[in-house]
Amino acid sequence: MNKNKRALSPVIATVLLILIAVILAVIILLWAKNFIKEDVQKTVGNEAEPIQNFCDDIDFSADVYNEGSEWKVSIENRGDIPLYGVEIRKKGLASVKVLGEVTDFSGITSGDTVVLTSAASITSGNNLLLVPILLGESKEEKKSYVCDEQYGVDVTAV
Amino acid sequence: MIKKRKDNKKGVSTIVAAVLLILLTISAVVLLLSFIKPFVENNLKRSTECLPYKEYFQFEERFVNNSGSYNYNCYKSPVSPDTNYLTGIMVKAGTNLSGEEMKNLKGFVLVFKKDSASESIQVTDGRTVSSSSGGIRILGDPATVTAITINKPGEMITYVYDSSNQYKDVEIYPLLKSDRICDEKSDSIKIKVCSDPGVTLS
Repeated sequence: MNKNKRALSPVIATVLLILIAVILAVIILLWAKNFIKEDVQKTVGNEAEPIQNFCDDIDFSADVYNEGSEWKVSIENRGDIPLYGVEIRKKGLASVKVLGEVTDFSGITSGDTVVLTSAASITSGNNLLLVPILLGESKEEKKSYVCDEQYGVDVTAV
Repeated sequence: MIKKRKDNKKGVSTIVAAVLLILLTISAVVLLLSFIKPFVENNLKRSTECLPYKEYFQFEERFVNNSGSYNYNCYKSPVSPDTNYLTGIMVKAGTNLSGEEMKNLKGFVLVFKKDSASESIQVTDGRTVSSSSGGIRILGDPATVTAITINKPGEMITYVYDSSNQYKDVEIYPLLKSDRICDEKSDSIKIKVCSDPGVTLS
């Protein structure tokens, strides 16, 4: 038996161990990533933040009115956060129902007033709650985000 | 005759031995993974599947419209010996669940509690509307509606529960398509006698 056979040097052994540990960590991370929900981000100026953080800074006014046979939603963005649209909710007897949403893909930027047509079944006199919708990004795709109802505006359809 | 031991017998070469060892290791790892991966995945799924619904269902404390502000989280006492307590509950659903998360949600469970007793009821799409003891219905729905439609995202609905007991607290738990009731309650609220003018549960 050849007794002067040499094993790996301690340096190579350490490098190999570190490599194995790193590869294992990468495999586990990639696998565990599936279980973590991707956050929707919004960029305003150069600042990218979780989209829900921007709901606080929204300032808009809106009107819902009938024109011909169509229902129009007029939205004026008075804040600095670009809006994507609004979700229309109807307040009934101790209930709030979602009727639909109106959106403008080009975005309602600061100071803009846009008039959008709604296909929702609105009746004159309906007590409506218009909840702002923002547009953000998640995994390089655009995603809309409906803010909490506290950021909504109460209007009566006329 | 004694056989001479052959000392120059050769085993497998070092390369073949190494290849065999690597193959053996790989097959052992594959075998282990086939058991461990589903086990870990199932457990991870089970421990995370309730997370998106943690605060999805909430009790609305007051309902405000252009005619006033009302608290429907309250009870009305029986008006005659053959009627029951009516308990109103305002449930609102959150927004921004993904399509997949919505598909996995079946409804919610309401747990009515008082000092030593509790009663639970599963509220799911298609559940039969009932105005008898132990039944639930949606306030404001016409009598022609025979099945419950639970809250879509962003909606608030007042449910009326008919019971022979007067409960003090209600808790709400998400109910998943797998019939699993999430352990952690989404919300809870105290129930008092209906005192706001204009609040009727019948």
